[in-house]
Amino acid sequence: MIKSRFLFACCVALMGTRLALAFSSDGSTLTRILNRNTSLTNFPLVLTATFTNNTTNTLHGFYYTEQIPQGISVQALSVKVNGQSVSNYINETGDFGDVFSDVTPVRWILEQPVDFSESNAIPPNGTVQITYSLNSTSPGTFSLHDFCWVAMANSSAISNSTPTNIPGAGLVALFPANEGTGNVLSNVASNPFGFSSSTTLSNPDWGSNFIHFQGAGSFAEFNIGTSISNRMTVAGWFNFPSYNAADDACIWIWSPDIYAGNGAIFHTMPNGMFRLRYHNAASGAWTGGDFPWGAISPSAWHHIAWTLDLTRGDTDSSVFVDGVPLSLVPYGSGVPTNSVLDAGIWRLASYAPPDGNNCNYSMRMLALYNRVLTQADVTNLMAATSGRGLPSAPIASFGFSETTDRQSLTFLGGPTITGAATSSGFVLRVTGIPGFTYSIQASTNLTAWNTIATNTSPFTFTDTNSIASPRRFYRALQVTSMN
Amino acid sequence: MLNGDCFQNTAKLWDLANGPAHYIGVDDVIVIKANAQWPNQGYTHTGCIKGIIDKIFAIPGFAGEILICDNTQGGGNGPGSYAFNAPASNRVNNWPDKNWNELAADYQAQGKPVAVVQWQNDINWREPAAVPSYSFWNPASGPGWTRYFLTAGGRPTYISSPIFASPMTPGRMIDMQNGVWENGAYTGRKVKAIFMPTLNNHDYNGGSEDYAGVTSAVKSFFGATEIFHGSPVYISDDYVWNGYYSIHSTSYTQTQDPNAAFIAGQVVGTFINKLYSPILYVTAAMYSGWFNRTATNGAALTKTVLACENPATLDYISCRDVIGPFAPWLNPDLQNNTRRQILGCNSQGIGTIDPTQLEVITYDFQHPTASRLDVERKIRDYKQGTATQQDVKDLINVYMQSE
Repeated sequence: MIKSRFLFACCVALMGTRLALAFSSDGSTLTRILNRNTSLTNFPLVLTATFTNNTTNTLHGFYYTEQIPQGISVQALSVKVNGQSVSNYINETGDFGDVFSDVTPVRWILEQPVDFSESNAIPPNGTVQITYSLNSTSPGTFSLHDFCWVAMANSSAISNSTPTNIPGAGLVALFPANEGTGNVLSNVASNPFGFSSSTTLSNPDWGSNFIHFQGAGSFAEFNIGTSISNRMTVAGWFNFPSYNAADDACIWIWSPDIYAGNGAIFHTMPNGMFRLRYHNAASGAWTGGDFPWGAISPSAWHHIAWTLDLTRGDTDSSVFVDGVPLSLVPYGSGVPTNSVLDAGIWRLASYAPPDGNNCNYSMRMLALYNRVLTQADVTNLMAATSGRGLPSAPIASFGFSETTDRQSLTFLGGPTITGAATSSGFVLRVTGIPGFTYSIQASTNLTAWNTIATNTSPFTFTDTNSIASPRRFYRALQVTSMN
Repeated sequence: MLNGDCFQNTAKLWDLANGPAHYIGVDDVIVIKANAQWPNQGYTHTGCIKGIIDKIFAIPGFAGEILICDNTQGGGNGPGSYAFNAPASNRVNNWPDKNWNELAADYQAQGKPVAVVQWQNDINWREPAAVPSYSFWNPASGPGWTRYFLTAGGRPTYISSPIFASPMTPGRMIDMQNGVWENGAYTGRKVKAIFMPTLNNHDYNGGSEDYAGVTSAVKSFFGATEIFHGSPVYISDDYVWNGYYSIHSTSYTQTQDPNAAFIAGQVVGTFINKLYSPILYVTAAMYSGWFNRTATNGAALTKTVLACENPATLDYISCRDVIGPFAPWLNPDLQNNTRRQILGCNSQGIGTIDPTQLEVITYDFQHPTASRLDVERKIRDYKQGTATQQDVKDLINVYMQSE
């Protein structure tokens, strides 16, 4: 660190505004050096940004952004990590005024979230060198002022492992649905209260950490025995397709004997509502509640929990979507207190085979409880089964140019060449970028050109051969630049 | 913005809109035109208004004033039930802590210049020289309305823009069209309007679509102008004054006209083109009254706040994505009055509903995401002193976990 500060000071002294200073949140450094401040139009300047990871962590997700003034074009030249060329970075241009009013962001992205699959991590003490050119077709002075970089110390990942900290009281079953293959959903709850340890699947479609019921004849069955009687909670992560009025019988979950016995069901309806309801065999009464499809956005994972308390007469039902309780439009009445659910086989994603009620949705982390979960319980369950947040929190790093870092670029027209006839010859004066080398070329036909003088700008040259020529043309060309 | 609380949603909204300073200068007078006329979810969520205001005050050096305004037209549930003075019993599906008067008083107690203004109709008729034409109001004459006369649906019609006294600065007149007026002249200080509508089914009976459809950004202009005239108290939405129709009586009142809702939108578009154009529209849909504006058991907790620079596109997205799933009759992709209202406004060159011409940028607090642009704006805010280093790091962490 001390050494880099020393070098830093030297650079400032030697190179003036060619080098930019920067803030850093973690001690890493980014220097931005121009090969020169002045050039001719259409002669690009070259800029090198060098980042050094001064932390003890490997950095992921690094990207660098330069805010480019209007009138300047950018060409990416190279990116190196620890001196090794990188080709799979992403060069991205934003919109003018996106961040600051007068510039356009241009980005070099070495790794993209969320998987950082480009594998361009920066090890401790590692460097990134990004080289690009800046050009203008019109003369002018431009101010480079805002750049920034962003990275983080470790990546997070989505886990498909079985959670260990879910609310345990009353847990009857937990189906992570992370088998990925086969015709069995395994119950991993440690105390299943006599619950069969697995389910029978028909025509499942598997994702990496979920099961997809893909329509025709695709469903699951499991025998709950007597594990659930008069209170229950069914909760899990679900991903539904868009509402379809024709999809009038996509049954999510039902318990035994919904029409003849004491059973409960949760299903969609053709009027755009979800309905959950309970049927009591003795009274023949139904009760429950409805809520709109709109409470669950399609094609996104939502945590849905359904509770039922049959001890309270007319059923006390509730639905939580992503932990938030919904208002239910009441359905039915007349169910006696202390009603029960019959023992037997429950079914997911279908009503009764072969029924033609084909369901199309995905599910993971399905939990069954023999009690009514509170909102806090639901929130805890949701957090425990979300699959996120399992790794340690990432350490974000960033840096940016200080307000005093402004570097100016000047593009000049020219070079210019002027001349005057004298008795000793034609006197030519070339004016270009001071310190740059230019040649004067002469021609008699504007086709064949001969170099007659080369020098650094500005300089004067007398063409003594002009005296013998009836006509002669001159031009000035830049030969080399000062580096 | 969805699934945050009212303050999270509005703060994130400003973030995604490139910050309030992108729209507001430090000396501007800000008029928040919200909806006050109905109780419960029927008036603009007070917490969302507070969230918008708090971030404006966070603009470094902000020295303007903020006025919360609406013309309730004397209608709705009547005095005592408007947002300005709504009692706690009328704040269901809204911010329970304060009504608008209390919110403004709270700011003033902190030394912050926030006030409420209930715009009042002018009961004096002024015959136009021609149609179309303006009848301008001179602030030197005190409060009044600049009126614009037009033909809508074949009927002589007028719309109007208020000029009113600032409750915060004695002698200052707020002209929505021309800016701040003081000491006999316009000062050059700008007046900028932010419209903050609700998102409700207009239907009084509930559960279906009435002549209006949705009441949100486009419809909110009905409280920005004068509807009934010639009386300080409510007469009728259908009132015709000296042969001239109001924005309501020339459109929705014409129930026999299948284009009535379209005409309503047309007149709103004319308002924007001829009177003034708000800088931003913010729909406060923490609750969405899918049944109607007031039934407390007929609103969904949608926890959403939306913003756009025009009301037509905003209403299209609000109806399609937020309230439509709860009230299918408000889906603007169907041939209904909601769609007609939006298309009428669009016909005046306001916004678009063409999916290829619009982009919806969403932030879900339950599934937070951040882009590189978001991160860079937050770094900018940190450099400018309006965000902390931890704010930047928190957003980077979200970015690093975003697909």
